Amino acid sequence: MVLKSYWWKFLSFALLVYVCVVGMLTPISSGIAELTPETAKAGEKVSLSVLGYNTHFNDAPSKLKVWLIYQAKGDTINICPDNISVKDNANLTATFQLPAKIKEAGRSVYFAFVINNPTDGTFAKDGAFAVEYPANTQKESFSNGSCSPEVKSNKAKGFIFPYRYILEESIRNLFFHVPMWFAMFLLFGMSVFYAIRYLYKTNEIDDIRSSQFAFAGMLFGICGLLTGMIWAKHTWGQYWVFTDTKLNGAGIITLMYFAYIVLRNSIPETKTRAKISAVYNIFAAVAIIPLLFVLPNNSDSLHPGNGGNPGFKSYDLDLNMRMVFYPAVIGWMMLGYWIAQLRIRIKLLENSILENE
Amino acid sequence: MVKSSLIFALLRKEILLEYRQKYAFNGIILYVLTTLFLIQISFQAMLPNVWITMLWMVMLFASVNAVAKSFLQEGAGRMLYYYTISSPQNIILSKFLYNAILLSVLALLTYGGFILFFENIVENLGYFLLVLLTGSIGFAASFTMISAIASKAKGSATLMTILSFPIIIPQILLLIKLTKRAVEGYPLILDYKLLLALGGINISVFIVSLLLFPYLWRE
Repeated sequence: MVLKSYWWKFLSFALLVYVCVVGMLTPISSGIAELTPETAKAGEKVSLSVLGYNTHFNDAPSKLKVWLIYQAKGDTINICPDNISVKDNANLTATFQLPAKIKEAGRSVYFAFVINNPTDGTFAKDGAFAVEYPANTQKESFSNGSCSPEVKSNKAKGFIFPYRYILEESIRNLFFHVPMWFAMFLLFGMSVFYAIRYLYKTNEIDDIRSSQFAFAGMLFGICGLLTGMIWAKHTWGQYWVFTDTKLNGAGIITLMYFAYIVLRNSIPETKTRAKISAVYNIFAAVAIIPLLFVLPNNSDSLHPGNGGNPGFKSYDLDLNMRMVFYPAVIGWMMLGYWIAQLRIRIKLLENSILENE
Repeated sequence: MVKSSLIFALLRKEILLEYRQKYAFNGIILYVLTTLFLIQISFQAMLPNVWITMLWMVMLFASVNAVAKSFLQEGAGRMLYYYTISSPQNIILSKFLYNAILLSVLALLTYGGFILFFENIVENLGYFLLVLLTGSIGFAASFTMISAIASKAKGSATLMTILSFPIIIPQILLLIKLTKRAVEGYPLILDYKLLLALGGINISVFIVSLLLFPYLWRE
């Protein structure tokens, strides 16, 4: 049965449809997009205005609760607001009386801003608000008084993605940008594998496979670059950051395969072309790939997990995200393999037509 | 297989050929001097970063030109003759040795030129020379193989440039990084990992050349 052997094509299609639908339509949970002002002095009375993201402050303003929380070893400060005024679903202002005395003076104290309301559950922005305590501040524990945050667990809101500061909606790009790179590496790996096999067996079909895997890999490389550029524009403010080693590495690999194509096109004779391009493919892979792993570990990158940036793992890639991310990885890899296979079959058909003429 | 007497005979032939023709080497020196003159006129005073980058840029283009001729100059007839007297490993080894010597000399002369035209900003000379020579040998390893590929593709020197630049970019980035450290006077011990990485790359490129060249050679 023909259908049976092509089950993976259907699977790939189904997975990608799932990734697109669920990945794009799942709502992002509530979060704090902006908090102003960001600093204040000890003992001041400040009114903090909050810009919420996907929030519903107006649903039940009386049940809305807000705190400033600071937690350190043996020192916990909870401050409740004097009053809260809700402007609309996304804007509220809360006035706080900051303590004049603190246990450990002589530095800035970073408070987390926590909001709790029945519709959105509890959400916070860590280190959102800094209060300066000069060294001459009276050293005394702050008494929390009657203010104690009742941080309840999130109300069940169904399937949602977490809200991340700056990333916001662009967090969905995780299902496209990252798996595309994985797929690209897989396809280039296959290309090198068939190049080696060609040199051993001198079978023309291996050359066709090697070159078509390289083409498919380039397609994914370009898609990965484009999705990455969209993401970079949103989070870093620029389409291309030249100091980022990962970006440059991606650029170099793409350049190398462009050179590979130029080399292929410059040789008219099939056998010579197959041999020389296989040699270049392997040689370039050996010369480039190790350095791409050496360089990023020794220089800064804006990517998660490099140069002091937290990786997605330390953000504990949310369980809901994983449920879309892993299918996306498998789906994009299968799609890449499928594209390469189609191209190989087209090439073989073209060759057999040429032979028959 | 690999025979040292044969390799040295071939190496001697390369050097002798160069000595008699006095064309390629002098051309490259002239190229370096002209570029330096141009850089001097346009920059006048240079920041250390520019100095380092310019040094490697001049080295890069001079090396591509110097190595391009190593296989491109050989006609089909002469290649056939080599085929009858030697195994491919000997050919690539002798070419590599010749290019490594040529590029090392070139690197030292370029450094001399930079001192002459600008100033010597290097603080840790031993470290700097180590990076410079390792870099030259790495260039020789990569470019010799690329030159063989380009000559088999019957391509011009342009093809050589297109093929070699993507491969050499990561290496150059690493070299510039290390050179900066040497110029700023850091001790060598601190960066031994990066230096080992550079050496490892050179060796792996070299071994892959040895393995792949026989396939390229056969026709």
